Amino acid sequence: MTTIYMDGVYKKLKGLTVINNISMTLTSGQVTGFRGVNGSGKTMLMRLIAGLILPTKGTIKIDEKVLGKEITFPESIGILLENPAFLDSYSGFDNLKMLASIRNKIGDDQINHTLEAVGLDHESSRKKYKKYSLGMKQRLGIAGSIMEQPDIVILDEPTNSLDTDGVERVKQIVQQEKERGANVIIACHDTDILDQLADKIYYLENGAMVQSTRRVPQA
Amino acid sequence: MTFYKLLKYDVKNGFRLGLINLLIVALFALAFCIDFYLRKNGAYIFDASTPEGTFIDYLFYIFGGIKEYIPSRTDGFIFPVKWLLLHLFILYSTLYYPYRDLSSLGLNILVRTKGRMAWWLSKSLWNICYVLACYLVIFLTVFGFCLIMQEPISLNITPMFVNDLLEADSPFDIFSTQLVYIILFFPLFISLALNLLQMTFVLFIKPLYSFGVMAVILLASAYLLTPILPGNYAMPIRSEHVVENGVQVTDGVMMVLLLIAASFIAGCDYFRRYDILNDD
Repeated sequence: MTTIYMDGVYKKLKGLTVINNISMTLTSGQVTGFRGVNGSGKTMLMRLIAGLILPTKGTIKIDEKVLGKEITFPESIGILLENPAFLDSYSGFDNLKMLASIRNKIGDDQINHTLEAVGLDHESSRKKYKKYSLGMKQRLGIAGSIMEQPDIVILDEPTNSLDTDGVERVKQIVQQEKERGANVIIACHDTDILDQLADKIYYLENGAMVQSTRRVPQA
Repeated sequence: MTFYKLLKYDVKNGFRLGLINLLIVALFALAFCIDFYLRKNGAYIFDASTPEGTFIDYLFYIFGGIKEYIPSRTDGFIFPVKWLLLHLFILYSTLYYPYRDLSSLGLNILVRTKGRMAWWLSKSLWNICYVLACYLVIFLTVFGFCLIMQEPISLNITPMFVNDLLEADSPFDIFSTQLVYIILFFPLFISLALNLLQMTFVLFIKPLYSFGVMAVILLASAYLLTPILPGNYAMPIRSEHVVENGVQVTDGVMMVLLLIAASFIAGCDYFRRYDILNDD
C-alpha cells in the first residue's frame, strides 16, 4: 500500500507560480478529491504526483522514496489526464494491450474484463480508436489507468464527456479501487460527484490549498 | 527487458506512422534518378554513344550538393534544391514522433517504463533506425532503377560526369575510392547527426522552430564552404577528393561524432528534468 507525502511543494512555470506551498499526505484506501476553478492547479498537482513534472521547491515522497531523485515515477501508478490520447490506427483493445505489454502483469482476459467494467463491450473495444466518440475515448482512458490494479490511481476529470451510465460506472470503479486499497486521487468539476466519492477534498486557488474538508462517514 | 519493449514499441509505432514518408523518399530518389538519366542523355546527345551511369554515379548526383558559392555580380546563389529537399524531408519525417508520443499513448508508456533516460535512448535509437531506413530506401531505389535501365551496378565513379553534370569544377581527372565511401556514408552520417540534434532542440523550442534551425544550418552550409558548418560534409562535391579547398574526411568524422554525442548527452540530461506538460 502506498502513501504520498508532499512537503512545501512549489512549482514555477515560465516565471509563474502554478503550485504554491502545498503539503499533504495521501494514504491508501482513500479517495482524495481536488476541487478548484480552471487554472487553480489541480492538473499540475496530479502531474507532480505522477512525476511528469518536478517541483521547483519542496519534496514529494512515494513510500519514503523521493520522487525525481530516488525514483523517476511512482512504482505502481495509473493515470488519466484531461484528454486521454491513444494511437488512432489501433483498436481500443490493442492500445491497452500495447500498454500492458510494458509491465507484462496482466493478460487479455484482465484487459477485456476492465473494458467491460468501463462499458466498452467486445465489439466497440475492437473498433479503431479514431472511430471512438469522446465518451468512448474517456472510458478507454479510465480502463487504461485501472487495468493493472495500480497502487496509485490518478483520475483528472474522469466524468468528462460521459453519459449518465458512464458517470455511474466511474462512481462504481472509484469505490472498487478504494476498497481494493488503492490511493485514488480525483479532480472533478462536478461537486456532487466529488462529495459522493472523496473521503477528503482539497480546495485549490491559484495553486495554493485554501481549504480541506473531510467527509463525515454516514451511519 | 522493459527497455527492449520500449524500443520495440517505438520502432513499430514510429515506422508505422512514418511509412508513407519512406515511400515519398523512394519517389524523390526515383525522380532524381530519372532526372540524372535524362540529363546524361541530353548532355551527350551528339556523342557516338551515351555513357553509362553507374550505381555510384546516380548516388553522387542525388547527394552531391553544389560547388562552393563565390559571391559575384554575375552569379547569384542557386539553392541546391535536390539536396535540400532530401535532407529537409528526412528531418521533417522524424520531427514530430517523439514530441507527439508524449501527448499520446507514449505518456502512459513512459510512466510504466519508469525511466526517462530509457525513453530518450529509445527515441534516439528509433531516430537512427528511421534515418537508416530512409537511406536504405534511397539505395534500393537507385539499385532498382539501375537494374531496370540496365545501368552498371558498380562503385566506379565516371569522372566526366563530375564536371559535366554535377558542375563540381574539379581539377581532378580520376577520383580515389575514398570518394566512394564519402558518397555512400557522409550524407547518411550528417543526416543522423542533424536528426538527433533536431530531436534535442525540440525539448527546448517548438518542433517547427527546431526544423527551422536545421533548415538554416543546411542553407548556411550550402552558402558557405567552411568546416564548421556540418552540411558541407554531406555534399560530396565539396570534399577534398573533388576540390582542392574541400572539406576533410577527418573533420567530417569529428563533426559527426561531436554532434551525435552532444545531442544525445544534452537531450538525456535535459529530459531527466523536463516538464511533460502537453502544452501543444
